[in-house]
This record gives sequence, structure tokens and C-alpha cells, in this order.
Amino acid sequence: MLLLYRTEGRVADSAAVAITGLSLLLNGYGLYLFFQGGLEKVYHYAYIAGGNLGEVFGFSVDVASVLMGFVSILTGFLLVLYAVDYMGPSNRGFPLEAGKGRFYALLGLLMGSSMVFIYGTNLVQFLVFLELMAISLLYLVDFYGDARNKALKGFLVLNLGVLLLLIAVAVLGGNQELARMGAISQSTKDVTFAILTFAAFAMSSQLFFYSWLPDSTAGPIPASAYIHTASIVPLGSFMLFRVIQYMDPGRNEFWLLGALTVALILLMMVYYPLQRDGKKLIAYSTIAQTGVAYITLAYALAGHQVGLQIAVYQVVNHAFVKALAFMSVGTFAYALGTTNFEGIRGIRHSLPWASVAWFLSFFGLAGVLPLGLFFSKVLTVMVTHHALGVASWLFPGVVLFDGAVFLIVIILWFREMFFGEPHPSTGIHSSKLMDIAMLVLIFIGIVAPWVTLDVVTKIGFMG
Amino acid sequence: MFLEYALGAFVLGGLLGFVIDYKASTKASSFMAVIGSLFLLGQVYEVYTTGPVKGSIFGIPVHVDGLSAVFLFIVGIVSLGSAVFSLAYMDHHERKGKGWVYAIAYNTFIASMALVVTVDNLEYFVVSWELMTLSSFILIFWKEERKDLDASLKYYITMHFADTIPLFLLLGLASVLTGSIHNLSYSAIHSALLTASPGTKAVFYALTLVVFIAKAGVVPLHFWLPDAHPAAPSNVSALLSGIMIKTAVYGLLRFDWQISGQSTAVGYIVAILGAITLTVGTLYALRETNSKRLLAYHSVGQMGYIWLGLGIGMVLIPRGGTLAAVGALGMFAGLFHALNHAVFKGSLFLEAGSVEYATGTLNLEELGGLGTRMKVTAVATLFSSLAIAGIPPFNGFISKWLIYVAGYQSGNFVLAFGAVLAVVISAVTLASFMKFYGAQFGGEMKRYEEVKEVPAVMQLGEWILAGLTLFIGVFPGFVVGFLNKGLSVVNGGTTAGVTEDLYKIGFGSVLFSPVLFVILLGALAVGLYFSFRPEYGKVARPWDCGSTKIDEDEYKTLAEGYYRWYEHKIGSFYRFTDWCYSFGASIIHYTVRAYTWIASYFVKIVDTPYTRVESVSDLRRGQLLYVDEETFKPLVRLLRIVRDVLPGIRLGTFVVLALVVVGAIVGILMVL
Amino acid sequence: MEIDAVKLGFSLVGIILLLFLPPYLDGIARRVRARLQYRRGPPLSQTWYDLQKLFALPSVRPTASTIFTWAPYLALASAISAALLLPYGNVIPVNFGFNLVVFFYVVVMVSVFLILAGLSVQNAFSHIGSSREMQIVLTVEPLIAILYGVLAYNAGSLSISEIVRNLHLTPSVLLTYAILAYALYVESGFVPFDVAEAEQEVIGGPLGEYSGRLLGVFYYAVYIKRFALLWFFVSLLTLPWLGPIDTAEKAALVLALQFLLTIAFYPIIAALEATNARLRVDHVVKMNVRMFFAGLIVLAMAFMGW
Repeated sequence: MLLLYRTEGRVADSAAVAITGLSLLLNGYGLYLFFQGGLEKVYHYAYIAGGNLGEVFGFSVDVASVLMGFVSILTGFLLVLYAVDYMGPSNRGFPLEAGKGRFYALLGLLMGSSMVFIYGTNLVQFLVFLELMAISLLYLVDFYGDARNKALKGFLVLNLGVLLLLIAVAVLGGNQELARMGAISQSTKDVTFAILTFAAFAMSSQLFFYSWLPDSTAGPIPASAYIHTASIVPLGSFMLFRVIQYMDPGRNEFWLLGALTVALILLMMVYYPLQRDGKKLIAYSTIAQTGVAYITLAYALAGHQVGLQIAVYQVVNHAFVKALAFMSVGTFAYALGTTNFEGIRGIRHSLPWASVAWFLSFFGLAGVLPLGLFFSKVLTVMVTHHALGVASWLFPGVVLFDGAVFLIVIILWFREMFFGEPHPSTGIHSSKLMDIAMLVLIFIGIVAPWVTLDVVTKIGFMG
Repeated sequence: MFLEYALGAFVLGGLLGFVIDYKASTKASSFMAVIGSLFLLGQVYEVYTTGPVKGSIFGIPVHVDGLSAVFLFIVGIVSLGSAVFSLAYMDHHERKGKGWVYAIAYNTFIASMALVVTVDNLEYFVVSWELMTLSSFILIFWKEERKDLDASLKYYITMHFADTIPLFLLLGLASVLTGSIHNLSYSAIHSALLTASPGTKAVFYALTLVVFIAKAGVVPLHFWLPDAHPAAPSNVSALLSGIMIKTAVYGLLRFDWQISGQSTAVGYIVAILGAITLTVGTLYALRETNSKRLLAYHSVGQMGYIWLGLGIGMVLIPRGGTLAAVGALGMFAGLFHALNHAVFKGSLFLEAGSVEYATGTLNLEELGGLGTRMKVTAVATLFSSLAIAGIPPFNGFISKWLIYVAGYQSGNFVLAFGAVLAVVISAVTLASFMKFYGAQFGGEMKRYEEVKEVPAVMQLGEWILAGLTLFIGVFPGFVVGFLNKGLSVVNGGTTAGVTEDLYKIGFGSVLFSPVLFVILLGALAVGLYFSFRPEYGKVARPWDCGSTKIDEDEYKTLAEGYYRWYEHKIGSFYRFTDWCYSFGASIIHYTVRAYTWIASYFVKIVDTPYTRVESVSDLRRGQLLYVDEETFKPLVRLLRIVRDVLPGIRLGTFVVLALVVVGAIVGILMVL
Repeated sequence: MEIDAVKLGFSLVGIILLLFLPPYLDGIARRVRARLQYRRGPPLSQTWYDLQKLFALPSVRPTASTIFTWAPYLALASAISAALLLPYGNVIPVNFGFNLVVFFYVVVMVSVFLILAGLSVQNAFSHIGSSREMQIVLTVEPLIAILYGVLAYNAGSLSISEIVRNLHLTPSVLLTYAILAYALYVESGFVPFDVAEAEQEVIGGPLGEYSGRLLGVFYYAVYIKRFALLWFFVSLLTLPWLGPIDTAEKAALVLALQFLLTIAFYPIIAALEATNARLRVDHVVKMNVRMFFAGLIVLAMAFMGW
């Protein structure tokens, strides 16, 4: 994909679609093989080992990584498909005359490093590819050249994550391989887990550095969508998931993880109604939804593997819903020239398909059927008795209240935007390809929770 | 299993919406809904004749027992009427377009309600319940008018807070009780609750009650209903009032009686809420002048009757002895009234829809004189109106009467007072429906001289239900056994000691023979008619005191003025309840104010002095304040200075810097 | 078979009474009223003559509505049905549900058809009359609900035969009799509660557009309804305190007592009618609402065992 840097126009489109399509197929084939082999198996391929640090590059193929990888590449493919039209001169909000190849190259870098990250087996690998993701983020956010500070902010926070990972690696030394983490002493576990938690928080835009994500939406929408759905942000929780899976650090850190996340979600509730820009609203919702994944990871800290399962389930469902939300808002930018909800009216008439996608995805983000977040929210609440003490009421309470506040915000926008006379009323043009990408994603989003539910239940502790 | 075919038909009906143009898609999907409803009725028949059916359809565990069968019958019969009606009625809304949304939502709505009353597992119950809420929400705003949209939002937000959240918490509680998230079948929850602590049980009751109170439109969570039900197209209103609010009754019996075990305290709550609801709902209905809003308020009121009946049962059944028999009668009557209400309210909404179809308005002030233009609809409306008003020999009378019997014979002041209110309000219902009928069909108006009767399928849809009001009223014996089977499921085998044969229905020595009554009344009326045949001399216009310039269309009583004195004299009731409404509204107002106050700390309004912050949209214009950014501002400033001071720094510089540092540290670590 | 013959005999007497007595009762009332106004008054059969005259006249047709034509007959049928449900001696001619609720609902049906009839024509006065009639029903029904409550608690059942068997005398029952008397008086539409048919104000209200035979049928229905309500009151007043009626002789005595009391009450009613002027509809509503609250106290008394 990096080769596309200098290409332009149609060539870039077809090449990008071909490459992602091919990797999707390859991944699909791998998925098929894996399922044939049985879901419980774990394949571990070690490639590079580095001195005292042990393994520094390898692939760990198990249910979680296969699922996550497939979801990541699938949304990636659909977003590339979407970008073919979106990143073009006919985009009303962000017309693009040149630089498409650059975009694909950066996105390709992001996708590639996300995939390696997902299949990673050790902290060094996480660290290195996080750095690569940070770099592509830096350029993607500043893609239009008007968001330098914002891009830098994200880059710096992610580098803080890298730094924390480095410290963790330094503390652990040779035990930084996931497979060896289970054996270390409890005190070391406590220290490293705390450090890794903050590293993951930095990636997922949680406390204490939550503001880079809303700012990073200044970049092109397909890229933001990928960052939010299947790359940096969810991979933060995925990394922590891996660590918990292998390390099983015990319940000492339960309150650290739980309390910070609850505080963050409460904070997000204040922000929702203040947004008028679709992309930013999505960003805040991403932060909160990833927070939900962290809450379920807290259950896992209390020693229940169901927490791990739901964390992955939440991330997967979130990926599809969020990608759809971005696509619908992107269509507004493309066709109406704005993502500011205050300036949009009557999308039911002007953009029928995008409006359906908007309805389903934004209500879906609030935890409404038929999309998957409903189910993961249900499960989050259902396993709440695994939480400790007051958390068994606090966690579901916060999760549900967050959904309710988001729903009210959405429903009020729905009231304004959806019906009535279209505004802007002229020059509306939509793209078939984008509509198709959205419809496919709606379909996937409806089917996915039912399919993946069985898959995630195979996830358990390792090591 | 018939249920499987039914669901298949609904799915197909939903998909058919995509294929062709508006008319074809609404017709095709309504037709599939007809087929599906017939299958549902087939399922009811199977259960009635051969006993409960257990199994799984499309992986969903279902258990159709007696109680489910009663409610499945409600779903089936009202959907049948409504779907037949829709075949032609939906043409009325052709202007709106988007037939496919209707097709999907309508079929999903019916299918989800069928699932709600048949699934055997709390998880699927919640999923179908939510699907029901969502699809009804879509149908309510389907007409896209601003007023309807607001109604649907009010509905959905209420449902989210009062249904979705408690249901989620209920799922949590249930998995705590059963100790697993994979075993939430009703029986498992039941056995877990048997040994649960009183506190846990109280939480269980509280959660379920809130859910069902909100869905049933029982006071104090009824405020969404009179707005939401009329907003939908009339065939959907029939489903909303006919079926959807009944699922709450199902839930009440299933969860708060069968699964949780018997509790007198809950019974008192249900009965008292029922008595309050029937009073509030019906007295508000009396003031209405929009026909569908009037019907919707009556749905609240009639729901109160049902809850009162069930509450009487819940209070008395645990007492044992003769009181238990009275209690069983009350519960039976409540269940019976649920069935009856579904039938006549479904029918009334369809008829209101017919009038709308023919004249284009629902305003009772304008309407009039349709009796001679739309004879079939008029008679159907008369039947259903008399049924809801509890006039013998229609079905509403039988079930209301049994509720009175149970209430008055309970020997309990609270319940008896409930029965007093029920009788009083029955008269109010009668008054309201005299107005409803009279204002639409009474008299003769020039304005509507050209109005034609609605198409035959619509008449058929009305009459499927309107005919049943008379049939069940005259032959209640046909449904008594059916309802008792449902009752025995939730009561551990106890049934109501209702005397029933072809001629009589009643309790103990309190009997009524509708057949005999109908024969007597019919024979007398027909006999008198033919022995004193009316002889008409001349035809004359109604006497208007010799006025010459009167507009004959306006020579009538306006709907608003029918019962003005009565409303005036009980004005303090209206003032009190209006105050309650404004109290509720002010709670919302102050919540928003509180939020605005909190949120103002997250917006940089200090930079622009003299900014007045009155609403959230004022805040949206400001620049957001990030807590983290503010904390690290000194650092950021430093970095900015560094960036500005050092020459030639670009984004790339940071990248190189980062890469070098990371590479170096990793390298060092590897070596160590 | 002998018992059946006795029963049949009583039923026949009952039917004759309910069909022929009501106009005579009205005749009595007219006579008494006339005497109180120092007039001579018409003969007792005058109401009969009036009805016969009306039956002989053709009606004017103000509307094509079918309800307009059928309502009088249905009202009359309902009134007769209600009267057939009452005990004559110890015999109920047609027992299709001998309990309080059924009886009152069948009585209300007369009003229902009257209201429907009024609403079926395009005439504001008819409409006003109908709505007035409805408001009377609206405010009387609460009183009757109280009556159900007291009697059902006192006797343990809503069945009239059970009430007759088990009623025991308490202050609340006495007060209930008073309420019942008031309620039935209002429901019958006697002056001062004849707001619905007020000729001078609303030209006959719901009956305004009726004439000839149809009007006659309606009048007849109203007379029978008044008779039924009075007979019901008399029965409830006497039967519980007379002990079980097991022989035909006793039954005949009871029937005679019922008959005499009915006739005795009519002059009282007529006297009340003659000495009162019609109330305004809001006054009627106000009075009835107040009575309802008084009734609630009576109900509470009943539940306290008084």
C-alpha cells in the first residue's frame, strides 16, 4: 500500500480496493481454515527473537485475534471502498483534487500495523507498531493541512503510550512476552499492569488524555472511522485484554480500571449535548463505548473470563456500528457539505439511504436494536454480579445512564434533522458506491452480533 | 409449529416492502400480515385443543401455554382485523411514500408482539420487547408530521427510561439469581426467586412493575400514550391500543404473579393504580374532541379496569377460601377485559381510521352526519362504542360486570371503592362514546353529502372485530374455558369459579344470561316494531325555530360542549391532574437547567464576557474546554515555544525524533 | 306443574301490571298535581287516551337515519325487559340475570336509546337534550355505585335474591334507602330533574323531533321505566323484611303490598313535582355530585359495620 503514495485517481482507487480486497480474502481464507481447525486452538508463530527481551515479533492466532483481525480488515475494506468516492473532487465538504495516493498509503500503513498489532505476541511488538500507527495518525489527521496542532496532540499522547509501554518492557525485561507473563510475581504484575493500563488508556483516549480523539476527527472521515472502529482506539482495549488474558493480574487493579472508566463515562455524558458536529459527537461516543469495554475488562480482573469475552464482543459490535455512523456522517459531508447537525434538515428526503444508516447507527450507539451494541450492553449489565461491591450497581447504572443520555441527545437531533424540508436543498448528490458500502455494513451489523456471540464465548484465560 | 410459519410470513411481508411501488408494497406486506395472523390464530387453536406447545423456532425457545395462548389470540385477532383493513387503508397515506419502512416496521411489530407473549426465556423476552418498542416508535413517527414526531420522541424516551433500563437491570438481577447468564428461562428464575431474600424480591417487583406500568400506560407513566397512539396511522393505532399495551398485562401476570410468586402488597399496588388510572384516563377522554385522542385516553382508562381486575385477584387469591374464589374471579375478569378491550378498541381505531379515510379529518367538532353515508361503519362503531361503554349484550359489559362483582363482593374497602369508581367511570365511558358516536354519525350534514363508504376490505377489517364484540357478549361461554386455562397457568392450577354454559355466565348466585336477554330484547323490539309499525307522514327538515339564515351544518352541539357542566363541576379534578402534569414538566425543565449549569463549566465562555447562557444551544457555540488540555497547558505552551523557537521544525521532525528514541530504547533493552 | 301454574299466574299479573299500570300511574300523578293546583284534573285514563291518540297519528320524518326509527322500539323493549326482571310477589317473569348491575344497565339502556335518538337528527335542541340526559345518567350512576357497595357488603352479594335473604338493618342501609330514593327520582326524570325533556327550554330535547306513533312509543317506554324503578325501590324496601316467601298466599300478599305501595308513592312524587320548579342542569349536576360524596360516607359507614 505504501507504494501508492505517488499514484493518483483511478489507479489508486483500483489498486487500493484490490489490495484490501485481496487481504480481506486472504484473511477470510485464514479465518475459514482456523474455524475448520476448531475454535479452541491457539497457533503461535515466533519469527524474531531479540536477545534478553525474548520474542519481539510473532503471530498469535487464536479466536480473539482472528475475530478482531477479520473485523478490522473487513471494516477497512469497506472504508476503502467508501473512500473511493469520498476522497474525490465531488466531495462537497472536503473536495480533494490530489493526494489520494498519499491517503491510501497512510491508511495502508495504519491497517497493516493494526493487523500486526492484533496478532502480536509481545509488548515490544505492540510498542513498535503502535509507534507506526501513531505516525500514520499524525499525517492522516493533518491530511488537509489545517490541523497541525490537533495531529500533534494525538501523536504526542500516543507516544506517551509508547513511552509507558517502554517502561513496562523495561520493568518486565524478558517477561514481556505475553506467554510468559503469567509466571511473574504478584507485585511486578501490579506495577506493570498499572503502567499498561495507562498506556491502553492513552491509546483509547481515556482518562487522563481523552481530548485528542475528538480533535483527531479533523482528518478524512474514512481514516477517522478506521481509527475509531478497528485501529488505535479499540486496540488499546484489545492490548489490555491480551495482557489480562495472559497475565491474570488479579483484582488489585479492579478499582483503578473501574473507577477511572466510570469517571470518564460520566464526563462524556456532559459533552454529548454540547456537540453540534457529527464527527465530534461520534468521537465522544467512541470514548464512552471503549470505556464500556474497559468496564467489562474490569470484570475479567475480578477473575471471570466472561468479562474478556464481552470486551471483545463489545469491541467487535462497536466497530460495525461506529463505522456505519462515520459513513453516514461522511455522506453528509460529501453530499451536503457539512457535518454540523445544526445546518442539516430533511435528510429523509435528500439522502434516503444515508438517513437510514444514520438512524440505525446513532440509535445503535445508544444501545438500540437491531445493531449489536444492544447485545453487548445487555451482556455487560448481565454479568454485573461479577463486579466487586458497589460496582455491581454502579457499572450497569453508569453504562445504562450513558446510553440514555446519548439517546436523548440523538433523539433531539433526529427531531431536527430527519424530516421536513431538506436543507441544504441544492446540489445534493450522493454516490452509489458509498450507499452500497453502507447497506453492506447495515447487513453485517445486524448479522454480526448473532454470529460473533458464539465465537467470543470460546475466549478464555491463557497462560 | 404454526408460530414458525407465522413468523416466516411476517419476515416475508417485511421483505416484500422492498420490491415494488408504494401501493403494491403496502398491499403485499399487509397481505402477508393477514396470512401471518391467521397462522397465529391457528397456533392458538392448536394449543387450545391439544395443550401447551414447547419448542424452538429459529433458535428461539418458545413455550405456548394457556396464558400465552390468550395473548396470542389477542395478537392474532387484532392483527387480522388491522391487516385486512390496511389492504385498502394504506392508500390513504400514499403521499408519504416509503412503503418499505411501513412494511418492515408493521410486520416486525406484529411478529415481535407474538414473540413477547410466547418466548420462554428472559433474554429473548427483552429482545422482542425492545424490537416491539422500536418498531412501534418507527410506526408512530411514520407520518412525519411535527406533532406526531414529538409524540413518538416522548414515547421513545419514556420507554427507554422506564422500560429498557429496568429491563436491562432485570436481566442483571436474573443472572445474579440464577447464577449464570446462560440459563434465564422463566422456570429457572422462578425457582431461584423461591429462595431469594425479600430485598431481592422487592427489587424484582419494582423493576418489573415500572416496566409494565410504563408500557400499559398506567398512571403515573401514562402521559406518552394519548399523544403516541393517535399519531400513528389508524391501523397501527389499533395494534398499539389493541395489542401492545396488553403485552404489559401479560408481563404482569407472567412476571409479577407466576414467576415471582404471590404477593398481596403488589396486588394492592396494582389495584390502586388501576382504580386511579381508570378514573384519570376516562375523565380526560371525556374532554377530548379529537376522535383518536379520545380513544387513546380511553385506552388508558380501560387499562385501569384490567389492572383493577388483576389487582383484586392478586390481593384476594392468597387469602384462601371464598375470598380466593372472588379473587380468581377478579383476575379472570381482568384477563377477560384485556381480551375484550383488544377487540373493541382495535375496532374503534379502525373505524376512526375509516372516517379519516372518507372525510380526511378526525376532529369531532367538524364531523357529523356520516350515519346515513357510511352505514356499515356506523353500525360497527355503534357496536364497539356500546361494548366499551359496557352496555349489555356486548362483550365489554360481561367483563366489566365481573370486575364489579369481584370488587363489590371482596368485602375490602379499598377494592370495593375501586369497584365504585369503576361503575362511575363506566357511565363516563358511556357519555364519552355517546359523544364519539353522535358527533361523527349523528345528524345529517351538507358538508359530507358526497362522502362514500370505505372500500369493502376496510369494512371487513372493522367487522371482524366489531362482530366479535357482539359474539363474545352473547356467547361468553366460548371464551371462559379458554381464559380459565390461561388463569390456571399463572395460578398453579386454580381457575375462576365462573358459572358458564351456553346460556349463563356468572359467579355463584350472581348470574346473567346474555342469550336470554338478547332473545327477549330482540323479540320485544322486533315484535313491537311490527305490531306498531312506524307510519311516516311527511318528510320535514329538523325544526330550527323558524330561523332563515342558519347554517344547517352548524345547527348542532359542538363536541366540546356536550358535557360542559359536568366537566365544570368536577373541575377541581382536572385542575389537580393538570397541576401534576405541570409538576412533571417542571422536573424536566429543572433537570435541563441543572445540566446547563454543569455543562457551562465545560465551555470556554469566560473568553467572551457578557455571553448569556440560557440553553444548551447557546453553549454549543462556545469552544469546548478539555480537562486534560487545561491540566497540561503549561507543557503544551512549552512545546509550542520549542516549536516556534527551533527553526525548521515540521511534523516530520517529531516522527524522526520519536522513532530514534524508541529504537534506541528498544535496542538498549534488548542488549541488556 | 301446580307450582308452574302459580308462577305463570304471578308472571302474568306482573306483565299486566308493567304494561297497563304505568299510564295509570301517570294519570294519578296528573290528578294529584291538578288537585294541588286547585284544578279538577283529567280522568285517570287520560294518559292512555293521549297514548292512543299518538299511536294513531303518522310521524313526521326529519332524517333518513335508521336509528331514529328504531330507537323508540329498542327503548321500549329495554324498559319492558327491565320491568320483567323484577319480582312480582316472589316470581320474576323472565330471569335473565337477577342482580343489581344487570337491572340498572338495562334501565340505562332506555336512556342510551333516547340519547342516540336525539343525536341522530341534525337539531341543536335535540343534541342539548341528549347531552343533558347523559349528564343526569353520569351523575346518578355514582349514587347507584354506592348503593351496590353498601348492599353488596351488607348482604355479601350483588344478587338481588341474596340481598333480600341476607340484608340486615344498619344505619347505613337506612341512609342507602334515602340515597336510592333520591337517585331513582332523578333517574326517572321527574320535576325538578326533567332537564333533558324540558319543553320550554329545549322543546322536548331528544324527543323534540319525534311525533305521532314514534313519540307515543317513546313516552310509553319512559312510563314503564319510571314504573320499573319505583317497583324496584318498593321491592327492595319491603322484601328483605318480610321473611322467606314460600307459599303462594304469602306471595300474593306481598304482591298486593308492592302494588299498594307503588300506588301510594305516586302521589308523593306528584306532590314533589307540583311543588318544585325545574332546576338548571348545572344545579342538578352539582346536587348529584354532592350526594355522591355524602354517599361515600355512607359506604365507609357500611364498611365499619354501622
